[in-house]
Amino acid sequence: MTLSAGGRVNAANVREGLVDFQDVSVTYPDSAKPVLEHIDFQLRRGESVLFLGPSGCGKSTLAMLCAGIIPQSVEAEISGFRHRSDELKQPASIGYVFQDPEAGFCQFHVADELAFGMENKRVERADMALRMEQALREARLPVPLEANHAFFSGGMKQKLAVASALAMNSQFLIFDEPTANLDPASTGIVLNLIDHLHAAGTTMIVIEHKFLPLLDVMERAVLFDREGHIYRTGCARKIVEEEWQWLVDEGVIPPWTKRRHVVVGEKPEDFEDPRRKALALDNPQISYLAEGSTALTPAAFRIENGRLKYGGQPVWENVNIAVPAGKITAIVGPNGGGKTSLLQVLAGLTRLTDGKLWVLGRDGRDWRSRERYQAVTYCFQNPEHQFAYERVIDELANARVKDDVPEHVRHLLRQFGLEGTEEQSPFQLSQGQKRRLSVAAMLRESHDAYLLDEPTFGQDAKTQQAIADKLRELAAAGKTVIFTTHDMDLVQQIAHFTVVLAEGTVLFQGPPADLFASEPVLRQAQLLADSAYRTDQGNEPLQPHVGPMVDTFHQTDRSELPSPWGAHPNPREERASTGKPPFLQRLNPVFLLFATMASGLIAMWSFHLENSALIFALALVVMMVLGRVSPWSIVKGLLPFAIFYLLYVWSLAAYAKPPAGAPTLNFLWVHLSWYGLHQGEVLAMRMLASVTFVLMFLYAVDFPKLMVALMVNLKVPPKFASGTLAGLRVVPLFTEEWRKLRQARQLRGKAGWPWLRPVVYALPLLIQAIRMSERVAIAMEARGMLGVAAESSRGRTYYREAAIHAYDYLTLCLLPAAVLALLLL
Amino acid sequence: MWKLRDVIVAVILALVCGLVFRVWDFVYSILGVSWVPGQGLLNGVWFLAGMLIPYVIRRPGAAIIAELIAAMVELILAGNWGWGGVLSGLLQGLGAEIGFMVFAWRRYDTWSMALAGALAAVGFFPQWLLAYSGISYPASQILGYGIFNIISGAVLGGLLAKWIGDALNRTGVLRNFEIGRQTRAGRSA
Repeated sequence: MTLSAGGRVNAANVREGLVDFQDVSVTYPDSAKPVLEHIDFQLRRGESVLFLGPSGCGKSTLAMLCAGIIPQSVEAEISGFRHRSDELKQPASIGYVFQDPEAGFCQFHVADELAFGMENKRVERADMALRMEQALREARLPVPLEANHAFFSGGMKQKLAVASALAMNSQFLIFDEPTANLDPASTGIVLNLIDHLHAAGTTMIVIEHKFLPLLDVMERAVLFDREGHIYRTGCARKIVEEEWQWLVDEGVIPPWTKRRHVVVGEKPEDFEDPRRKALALDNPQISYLAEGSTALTPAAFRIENGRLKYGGQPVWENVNIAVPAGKITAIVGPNGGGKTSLLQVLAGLTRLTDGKLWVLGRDGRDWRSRERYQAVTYCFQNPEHQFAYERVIDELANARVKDDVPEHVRHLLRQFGLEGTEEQSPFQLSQGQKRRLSVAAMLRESHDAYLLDEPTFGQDAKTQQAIADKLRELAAAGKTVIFTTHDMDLVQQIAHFTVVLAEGTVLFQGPPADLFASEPVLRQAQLLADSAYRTDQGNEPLQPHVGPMVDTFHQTDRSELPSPWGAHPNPREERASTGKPPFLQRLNPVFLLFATMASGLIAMWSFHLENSALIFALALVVMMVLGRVSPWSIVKGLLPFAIFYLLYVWSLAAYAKPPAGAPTLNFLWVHLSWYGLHQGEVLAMRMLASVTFVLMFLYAVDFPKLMVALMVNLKVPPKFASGTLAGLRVVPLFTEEWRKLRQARQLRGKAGWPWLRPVVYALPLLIQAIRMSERVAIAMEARGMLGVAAESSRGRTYYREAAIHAYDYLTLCLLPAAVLALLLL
Repeated sequence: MWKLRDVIVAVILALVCGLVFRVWDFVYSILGVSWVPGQGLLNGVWFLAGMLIPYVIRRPGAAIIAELIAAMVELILAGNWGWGGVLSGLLQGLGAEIGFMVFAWRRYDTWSMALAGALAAVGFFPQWLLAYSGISYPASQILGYGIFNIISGAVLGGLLAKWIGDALNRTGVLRNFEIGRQTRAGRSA
C-alpha cells in the first residue's frame, strides 16, 4: 500500500498528501470500546476540513492522531494503516489551537510564547524577531512583543496561539473548538482568521460548533456518528444541507437553529430580519413582555445604583435592574463584562460594593444566608466546582447513601439519563453528564429562583436541549430563572427578558425581541458575531486595527481572568520600561540565586546580635540601592517573617531556662528573664537577616529569565526548566478555584469550619491542577518540547540571552564575602 | 524516565505541599507540644511532598526534588524555620529517595511507602540532634523522639500520602500518569 496509489501520480496540480489513514481504530486505555473505528481519512496540503459530530464521537481524537499528539503525548491503542508525511513527523510541524486558550501557553510574555516553538525547532536567534513580527501580522494581532498575555481577551489569546504556530512555520493548523470560551465578537475574530488562513493556503482541520459561517471556507466536511465511525464525508456546504436532519438528530445542531444558507460576507445572523421579529412577537409569553408590561410582573430581584469592585478594579457601576419573577431572564455581554459577578451578586455569593439589592421582595441584607440559599440556588459554569462527594449517587442525594436511595433521587437519575453512573466519581463523567448531574442536583430541592452560569457551555445539542426544556418547565411552574450565556440563539429561544452587561454597566434590559431589534446595542455589547467579522476583513494595513484592539485590551475585566500572576502587573516591569533596570535585575539570574542563597546560609551562622544586625543592614542597603526596592515594599515583604520572629523573642523571653542566679519575673507559668529576651533577640535577628536575602532574590528575579539561564548556563534539561515555568503559571489559578469552591460549598451548606477547608477543598483543587498541567504538557509537546529539545539544553536555541558578565562573578564573590566579613567582625 | 507532564505535575503538587508545610508550621506552634517525643509524632506531615509526588509520578529523584521545592516554597511563604527548613527538605527528601531506591523505584505499595516515610524521618534526625539541640535532652527522650519520629514518618508521611494519591487516582485524572498506568496493569494482570 503506497501513498501514490490511485490516479494521483501524473497529475501535477494534485496536492501532496499529508495524512493517509486506512481502517484505523483507536482505543483509549481504561475504556472497553474504541473511540474511533474503521476510519479512512486522507488530508492533502492546502486542504481545509471541518469535523462535525456529537460530543464524544472522536473528532478530537482523529485531529490529535493527524497531529501525532496520539500516540506521542496521549497514550492509546491504535490499529490500521497510518501514514503521515515526513514533514509532519518533524517536531513542532503543526499548530494546535485548543479550546482553552490558557492551556496552550507556557510562558508569560508574547515574545517568549512566540519563540517557544522556534526554539524547539532550533531557529537561529537572529531570525526570530522577524518571524515573530510576521506571525503577529498574519494572525492580525498587533500587540507589543513584551506584552503579558495574561491580560488578553479570549479572542486575542486564540490569535496568539495561531501566531505561535505561524512563527514555527507550521503549514498545518488544527483548531479544536477554538471559540467555545469566547463571546460572539471574539468568535467572529477567530472565524475570520480561519477564513483568512484558508485564503493564504494553510492546511487546516477545524472542529467547531458554530460552523455555519465556515461552510464556504472549508472545502470538505467529515461527519462522525456517536459510535466513532465516519458517517459521511464530502463538500462541506453540500453535506450539511443534505444531512441537516441527521445533524439535528445526532445532536450536532441544536433543534432551534434555523436552517439557513450563509454566504460569506453576508451577515451570518440577520437580526433585522422582519420574519424573525414577527416570530418573536407571535410567542405569547414574549409579546406579553414586549408590550412594555414588565412593570406588571413583580420583580424577583432588583438592584438600585449597584456598583461592584473586585480586587480594587471596578467591574460595573450604575446598575439598575429589575428581573421579572416567574420568567426566564438571560444576562448577556462580552467576555469579562461582569455577567458572572452580577449573577453571583443576585445569588448572594458576592456582595455589592455599593447600592441596594432586593431579593424576592426583601432587602438583600435582611436574608439569613441559610434561608437565602434555600430560596435562591446557583449553578456554576464549571460543574466540578459543585461536586462534594466521591460518588454520583451521593452527589445527587447530597448525602452519603447506601442502599436506601430516596425515590426522588432515583427519579432524577432517570430523568437526566444518569442511570448506570451511580457508583462512579462525578469527576469521571463526560462533560455532558457532569452538567446534567449539576443541574439535577440543583433541582433536587425546590427553590424560588434558579441562577445558572452558562448552563449550556461546552454541551452538545442534546444536553443543551434537555437543559433548555428544564428551564422552561421551571418558569412554567412559576419559578424565576436567570442565566448567563454567549449563545444568542438560546436567548432567542427561551428567554423572556434580557439584561445586557457591557462597558461596565447595563446597556439594555427588556424583552429579547427589543434587543434583537436594536443593532447598536448588539454591536456595542459585542453580541454580533459579524461585527468583528466584517470590519476585520480584507488586507488593510496593520495600523487601523490598533485602536479597537487596545480598547478590548482595556475592557477586559482583569478580575475575571484567572491569569498567571496577571492580576497584579509587576511594578518592576513598569519601572524597567522607563529606563535601565536596577543592577540586581541585570544580574544573570543564576548568579543572583547563588549569591543570595550563599549569603543567606552564611548569615545563619551569626550568633551575635550585633553581627546579625549588621548583615541585616547590609541586605537592606543592597536591596534599596542596587535593587531600587522601596523601603515600603521591603517592610511589607519582611512583615510576615518578622511577626513570627517576634513570637520567638516572646517565647524565649518567657520560657527560656536562664542560668542559675539570673533574675526572672514569675507569674502564672511565665518566667520572664532578661537572659531569655536576649536569646530571643539573637535568634530573631539572625533569622531576619538570613531571610532578607530570600526577599532580595524574589524582588529581583524574573522567572522566565531564570529558567533560560538554568538551561543555558547550568545545562539543566529543558523539560525540567520549561516544565517548572509551566507549573508556576498554574499557581494563580488556585486562588480563583478556591474562591469558587468556597462559594459552591456555602451554597450547599457544606462550607464547614474555615480551618477545615484546606482539607475539604484539597481534592477538587488538585484535580483541577492536574488536569491543567496535563493539557499544558500536551500543548508544549505539540510545540516541539520533545526528544532532543526536551532532553538536552543544547538541543534547542534560545530567544533570550543568558550572558555572564564580569559583574556577575564579582557579585557572586563579593556579596557572600561581605556577609562573611560582617559575621566575623 | 521523566516526562514533561511529570515535571509539571511534580512542580504543582510540590507547591501545594509547600503551602501545607507552612500551614503545619502554624498548627505545630499552636499545639506547642512540650513533651519531646510528642513533637516527633507531628513530623510526618512535613515529609508529604517527598511521599505524595513519587507515589503519583513514580520517577527516580522525584522525592528529593519535590521535597526540596516544597521546602523552598515554605521558606518563601515566610517559613519560620528559615534556611533550616530548606536543609530539612533536602535531608528528608534524601531519606525518602533512599526508601524508593531500595525497590529500584518499582514498588509503590503500603510497605514501600511506610519505609520511605520512615527513612525520611531518619534523614531529618541528625538535623534535629545538632541544629535543633535534640542532643541536649536526656537519652530516653532522644530515643522516644527518634521512635515517634519514625512512626510519624511512616504513617503521617507515607500512608497519608498513599491515601491522598489513591483518592486522586480514583477520580480518573491520573490515568495518563505512572500511577494510573500501573493501576491498570495491576488490574489486567
